[in-house]
Amino acid sequence: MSELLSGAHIMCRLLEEQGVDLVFGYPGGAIMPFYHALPESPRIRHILVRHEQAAAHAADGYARSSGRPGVCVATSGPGATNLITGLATAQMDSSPVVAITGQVPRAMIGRDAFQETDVIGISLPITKYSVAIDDITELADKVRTAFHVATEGRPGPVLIDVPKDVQNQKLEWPDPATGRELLRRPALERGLPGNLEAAVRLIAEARRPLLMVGHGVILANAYDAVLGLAEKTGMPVITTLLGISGFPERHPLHLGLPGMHGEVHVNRAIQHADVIVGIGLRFDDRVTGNTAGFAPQAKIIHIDLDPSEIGKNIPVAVALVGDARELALQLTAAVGRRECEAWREEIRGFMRPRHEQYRGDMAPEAILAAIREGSGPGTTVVSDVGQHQMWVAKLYGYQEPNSHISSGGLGTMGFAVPAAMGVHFARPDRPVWAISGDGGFQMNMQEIATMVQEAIPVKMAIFNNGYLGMVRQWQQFFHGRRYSATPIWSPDYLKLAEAYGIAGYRVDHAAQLDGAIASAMPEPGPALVEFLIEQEANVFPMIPPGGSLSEPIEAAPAGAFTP
Amino acid sequence: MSIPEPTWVVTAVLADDLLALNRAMSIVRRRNLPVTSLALGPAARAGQLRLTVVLTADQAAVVRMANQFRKMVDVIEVSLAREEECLGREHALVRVRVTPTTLAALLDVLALYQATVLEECPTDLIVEATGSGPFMTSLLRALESFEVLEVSRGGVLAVSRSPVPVAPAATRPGGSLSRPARAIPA
Ligand SMILES: Cc1ncc(C[n+]2csc(CCOP(=O)(O)OP(=O)(O)O)c2C)c(N)n1
Repeated sequence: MSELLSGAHIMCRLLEEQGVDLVFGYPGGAIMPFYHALPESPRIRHILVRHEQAAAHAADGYARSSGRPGVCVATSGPGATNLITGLATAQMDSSPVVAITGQVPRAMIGRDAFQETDVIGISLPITKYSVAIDDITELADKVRTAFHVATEGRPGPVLIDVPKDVQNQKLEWPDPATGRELLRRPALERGLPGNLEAAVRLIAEARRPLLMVGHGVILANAYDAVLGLAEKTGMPVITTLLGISGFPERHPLHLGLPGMHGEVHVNRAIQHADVIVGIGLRFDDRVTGNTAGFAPQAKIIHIDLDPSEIGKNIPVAVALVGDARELALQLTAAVGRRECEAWREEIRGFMRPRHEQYRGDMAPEAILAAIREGSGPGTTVVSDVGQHQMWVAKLYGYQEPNSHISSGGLGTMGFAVPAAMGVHFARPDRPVWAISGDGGFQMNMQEIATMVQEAIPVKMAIFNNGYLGMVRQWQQFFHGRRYSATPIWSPDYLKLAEAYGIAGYRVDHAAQLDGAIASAMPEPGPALVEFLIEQEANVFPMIPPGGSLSEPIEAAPAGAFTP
Repeated sequence: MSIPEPTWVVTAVLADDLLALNRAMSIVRRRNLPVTSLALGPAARAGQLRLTVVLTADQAAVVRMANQFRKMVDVIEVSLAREEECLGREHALVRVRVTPTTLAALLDVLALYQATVLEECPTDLIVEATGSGPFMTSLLRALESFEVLEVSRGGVLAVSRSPVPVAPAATRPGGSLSRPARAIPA
């Protein structure tokens, strides 16, 4: 008979078996047996965060940039509930995060014990799968299943809840061969409209075709396949917020971002298109605007791994369900070579110059150009949520696959700083920038301490406009300039940097940009750069909420608030 | 005038575990679909549950729901059919007041609905009945005058009909083969 192991030891060995060498976490009563066992698995590095939400975002950042599951650990009750925002973020953006939570001992469950929370109940709608371990004999099967679920098909977060006494139960190491018959799933929906030939025909006959690239292209590593499809057909390419860096932006076929803050020419191209090939996107409302008015002339060819996305938001003419890379390759092989010169010329005619003025020349594009030039190729940019997120999305010029990471579906402020920590561990030799507004930065800036303790050299940029900028913009446009609860005070970020013992820089004029970046980059540890930007700058153009893509706002409304 | 929305029967075979049921129901709840009946019981295979949901909604909404079911971990099979493509039955247990003076009339009503008396007590009868939804409603209405003490209805159970249609019930002598044989006021 082989040696008996505790549940906690088995958990650690299962993590090793799954190839996990990094977990982000925070200890507490109900997860203490796990933490007791963890040092016996020296291959697993543990990063102590300063808030469990950051553990979930960091695991998410790791997962998005490595394509492997990102693991976070928390105790029961408040530890578990602190993970929830991070799990919901991962769910909306299809990221394989594995959360492990401690739970009160089984005998205490249902008795409102100290730090007892029904985290399975709370997490059900915001995870792909959540599972409670009712006995040590189930542990291995359920953990293996959870890892499998997180990564198979369309990825997503899973949660494993382990009562403290199960962590202390004893069992022999469960043979991997005994893993439960892995999930049987019902067959994919059949009888979806159309097929490859129909798609080929539509593309051949189209006069104004477009290619729309979503997150699925990055998840499926379909970068080259999609590039090949675009080049063979000459179709101009649009990248959604999470599709950004799924296509090289300096490529002549690249058009830009669609939707609410999409460029006017991109949205007009959509409104004029007669065929749209959408790969790995869900036609989210931030992309389509009012669906009734979306692409009124276009027949949609929708390529997605998830059959439940087909026809969910907009009707499609042809659906191809499967792996984005494989389907893009098949489609490329089957389509005839063509060009779209006249159509591209027409789109060029839709373009408008921008003419905003920025304080001290601190135009977002100047800041982003300085960051790009100063940090060089191989850099990953992680953005937070708000105005700066749109600028970071539209103005950086991503050339490498999966070099832009952002919370798209949930739009979670506070994401950038902790997620960037996770990205660092997936790409340890490459620069990582976390770009936040002064609002979102203050939501998770406590993680600077984690970076210092663990020597994580993430570079943090703060776009400081003294406002919750995006909300202020909506107030300016739609609430008669009533700036209710949007002015936001910040601490002195240079002193903050000093307090944490890291390098800090403040830039309030374009002339200082390159110097600040050049000083921050070689810092061996984290560094912080604050950019004082125009306080009431706006993101243009903007489709008003509920409006159609044909009705962009291109200038701020005149006049102040009149009650 | 808008066309009334069709009634659908969604059947899902789930892993026999409350979490799977919870997940399935949260999809229905989140979409706030107008569910008229829910039934749950063991499926043909051991270790599996069969969930039958009846709802009235437009096709796009139910297809979306069925697709969400299919995506769920621990959902083994999902089928979606219009009400008329299935054979659906409800089961009910009814406790109804009886007195020596009402007994004969009550037994007449029960005979008309082919309901079975399971237990007799001095003051009430426990009755079992099976039929389509409208049939059950009609039975309960007929029992109202006797004073219904307790009703337990099981929700619609359904199996799909063979895709090759047999002769329509109306053209067959004696009407529908399925119970109830006699015409019941709708
Ligand atoms: C956790 C969370 N709370 C609130 C919001 C709503 N929200 C969206 S953008 C925004 C303003 C962000 O301000 P800031 O971080 O300063 O960035 P800016 O828009 O100024 O670039 C807010 C409050 C959100 N997206 N996430």
